[in-house]
Amino acid sequence: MYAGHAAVALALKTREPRIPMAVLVAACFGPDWVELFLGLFLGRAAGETYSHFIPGVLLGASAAALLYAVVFRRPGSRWVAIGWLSHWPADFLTAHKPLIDPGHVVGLDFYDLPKVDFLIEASLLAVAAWLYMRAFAPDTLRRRWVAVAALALVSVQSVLDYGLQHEPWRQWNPSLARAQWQPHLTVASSGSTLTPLRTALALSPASIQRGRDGEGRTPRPGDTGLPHVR
Amino acid sequence: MDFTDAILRLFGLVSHLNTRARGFGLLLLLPIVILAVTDWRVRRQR
Repeated sequence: MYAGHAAVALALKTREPRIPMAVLVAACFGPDWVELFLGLFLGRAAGETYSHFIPGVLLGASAAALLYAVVFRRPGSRWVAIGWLSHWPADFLTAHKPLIDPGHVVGLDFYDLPKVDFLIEASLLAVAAWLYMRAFAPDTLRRRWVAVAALALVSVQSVLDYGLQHEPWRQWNPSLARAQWQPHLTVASSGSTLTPLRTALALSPASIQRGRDGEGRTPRPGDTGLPHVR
Repeated sequence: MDFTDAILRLFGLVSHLNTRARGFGLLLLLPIVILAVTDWRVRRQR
């Protein structure tokens, strides 16, 4: 997500006007800044992963809130943390992002439907600009400034989505699960390895015939990586 | 960010680490500048 993060900053500014706008915007894009700097030192893959997986986001949000409280000595550090934390759910809409395990990425992947991505981000920005205008810009001149800023960000977003549109190899691949089935509960077997709890509870052949996922169906290769909606 | 690669590719630039980092950095600076200037202008007139 790009313009959507700026939209979140605009909306948060209406909740706590004493926080400098630059700080709020930087916080809302915080994991991307961390990705940029980590990428320079650790390589691109590590930068992308450790800046956006959930422990990294929590750590970054805490550090940013603390830094704000120490440097600016003003109230509002929780809004800085909220801005930073909002990055993960916003990116979940548009891409694949790691959860706690850096190797397990999930997301709705609207980057691969650039027109939908543009619609989502432009809508978020429109709502946030309206909220900001309502709070701080009662007259036409000030509203014009806000409208120009929103248009500038939407224009950048349109260029970015145009770039994505011209990558024909991209395919929409929303994912809420791992690319392979695995049990959520495990029990220790006779050796040191862990086996699925379901295996330990499979007492009769009838239970095996119900299908490997235990609900009357056996996952097929085509199921992998797709959310299971029943 | 996927955007940076897409734009660099669109303009025929090699996705070299430093080129990408500069593009990415510019993309991240833009909203800060745009919104900070706007906020300053709007709130200065209050």
